[in-house]
Amino acid sequence: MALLLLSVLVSACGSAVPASNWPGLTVAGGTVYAITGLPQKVYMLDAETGVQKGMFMPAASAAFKGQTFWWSPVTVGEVTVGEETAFVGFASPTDKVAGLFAFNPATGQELWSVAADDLILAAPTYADGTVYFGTSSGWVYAVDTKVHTVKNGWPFQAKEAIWGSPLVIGERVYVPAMDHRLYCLNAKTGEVVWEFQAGGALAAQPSPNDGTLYQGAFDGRVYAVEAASGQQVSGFDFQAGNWIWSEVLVADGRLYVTSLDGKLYALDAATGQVQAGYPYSVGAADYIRAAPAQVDGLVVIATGSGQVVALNAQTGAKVGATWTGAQGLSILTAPVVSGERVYVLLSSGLVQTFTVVEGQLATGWSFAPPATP
Amino acid sequence: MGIGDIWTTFILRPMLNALLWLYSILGHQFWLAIIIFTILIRVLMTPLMLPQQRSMKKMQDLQPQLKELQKKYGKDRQRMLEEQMKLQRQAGVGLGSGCLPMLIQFPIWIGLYQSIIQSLGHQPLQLLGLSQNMYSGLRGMISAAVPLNRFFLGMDLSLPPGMPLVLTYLLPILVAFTMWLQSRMATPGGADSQMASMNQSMTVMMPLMFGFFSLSFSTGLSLYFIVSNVIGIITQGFISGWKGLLFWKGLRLGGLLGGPRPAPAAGDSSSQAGRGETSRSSAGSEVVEGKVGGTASGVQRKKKRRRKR
Repeated sequence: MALLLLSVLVSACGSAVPASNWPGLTVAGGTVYAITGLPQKVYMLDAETGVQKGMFMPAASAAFKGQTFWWSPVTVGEVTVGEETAFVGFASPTDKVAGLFAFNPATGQELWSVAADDLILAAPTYADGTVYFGTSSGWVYAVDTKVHTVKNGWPFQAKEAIWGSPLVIGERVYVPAMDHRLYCLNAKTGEVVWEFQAGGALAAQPSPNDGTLYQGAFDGRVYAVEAASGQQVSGFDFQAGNWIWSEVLVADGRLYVTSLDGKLYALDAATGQVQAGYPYSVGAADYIRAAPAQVDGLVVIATGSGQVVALNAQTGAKVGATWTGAQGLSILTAPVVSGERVYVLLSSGLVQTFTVVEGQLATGWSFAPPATP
Repeated sequence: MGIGDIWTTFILRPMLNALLWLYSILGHQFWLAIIIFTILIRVLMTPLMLPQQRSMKKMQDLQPQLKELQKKYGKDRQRMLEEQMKLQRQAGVGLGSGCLPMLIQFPIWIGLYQSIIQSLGHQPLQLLGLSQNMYSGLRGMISAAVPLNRFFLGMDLSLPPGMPLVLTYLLPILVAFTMWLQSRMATPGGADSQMASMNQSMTVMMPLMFGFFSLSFSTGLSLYFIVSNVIGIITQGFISGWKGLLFWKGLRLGGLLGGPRPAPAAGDSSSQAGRGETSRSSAGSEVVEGKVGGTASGVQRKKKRRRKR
């Protein structure tokens, strides 16, 4: 009996978690890069038709960092497409190896890779021949894409993990960190220009608007920070009922903010005051991790219970019927808008598209990854 | 409400929030929260654990009489077992009580493991669970503290033991050692050699297995096992005596792996009588049996006097 119980305990507690992050979704240059499947891979789909164009995954047993890389289990971040090169973080926690991989965005052919100290969970950011990314150990790297090496003065180390993508504006790199700080770094030297202390962990990329950075935090607040000085903008105040894990959407002079309290808020960009008709709630039992998206006067939100809801951006009124994925599936990845189409990625790896028809969302093509690796 | 919801509502959330509350009042030290949590769990489980530990003590006290039965009915195994059962029933030894505390602890182990993983989540999906399972009263305080302080003596409590920190491998060893010590103090030897051998094997095998599997659990769970075992040792010490703690006295490989243990001192039947001794003994344990036998006769005489009254 004791041995039986112990066996169950081991299977319940000792097994490795197959995926530690939600799947990534990127649309660029007419291609959808969806990270799905077990083990996770980058599926490259035609953005208009959903037909698979290619796939990227480093070779199963590629020698990497002097070790054999078996990819089981694998954690993948999100794809970023630069100049004729796509970037994505891959890691195998069991093999204790991780790195940034560059591949051809058209063919999926691997080009080069750089070792990192830990998981790269957020999308890397590409700017002017440099790709910036943070890791779960708190290191922020700047890699020269011509020579494939870490630039002088980098990496920079925060005190906790980096789960949000760096934001690059001119010569400055803004990095949100789980140590409650928003760092402003010099893009050339990696030195700290200023740092802003928030009241909670920062897990999403800051959103810029007119010299102000809007940053959601785990204390439920949205912070407005002057990009030049790092000073908090006076007169702006907002707090949701639970963590804010997603990027703030800036549109039409408003801020659209989702929270794990299951609500979408529309805020005045200057004061943080909640606008008329908002917040919109998806129910107390549900939550919203993913950032909202805007298309054709609609704000689209995706929820933890796998629902996709469209709202009139101005009034906050729900438009059309709620779309729901299969039972038990969640949507944690932010919907992506490209052209007239909205792309949604479910926890199962299913890519579902929508188009706006007569002011409402209508379903388009979908893509499910093959059941077998 | 599905089984998952029942588990989350009645096991995971209460445990997770208890840990978070302890964390918030104990100077943001998660290791301290685990230790105090373990003590509280053991206190709550005392009504279940104590009868089992007393039952073990009664079994120890019955060893002389069980040996008498073995001598008397040694060839008739069926009869011997019947008489042994009868004797145990008369003495009030709960035969099925052994598994209950373990069954009760089982959901605690899994719940605690999940609570540790969610509280100290390294990765987004783990931490997402924390945000959904926190009670609203704790949300403000904990949200401002995330990510929680997960380190204890340089060890990450959310991760299994691993290099380069060699210290982390000490925890599985301590899990195995404290469990072995607790079992050693609690386990009666058994009158017949088969039972004694089985008890001895369990005393060694279970701790070894727990120690081995602790290599793949988060070190926070290992900390729970160690503290829980230490409390078990202390409780068992008050019930059965403390001589079992002197494990190094007469310790040898044969004894560790199921062979006979050293004899208790004369007149020490209260705490050590019969534990570990088997009938397949060496010259040394022959002497022990003689002494124990004398003690057993004394017990029988006392019983006779009681019957006369």
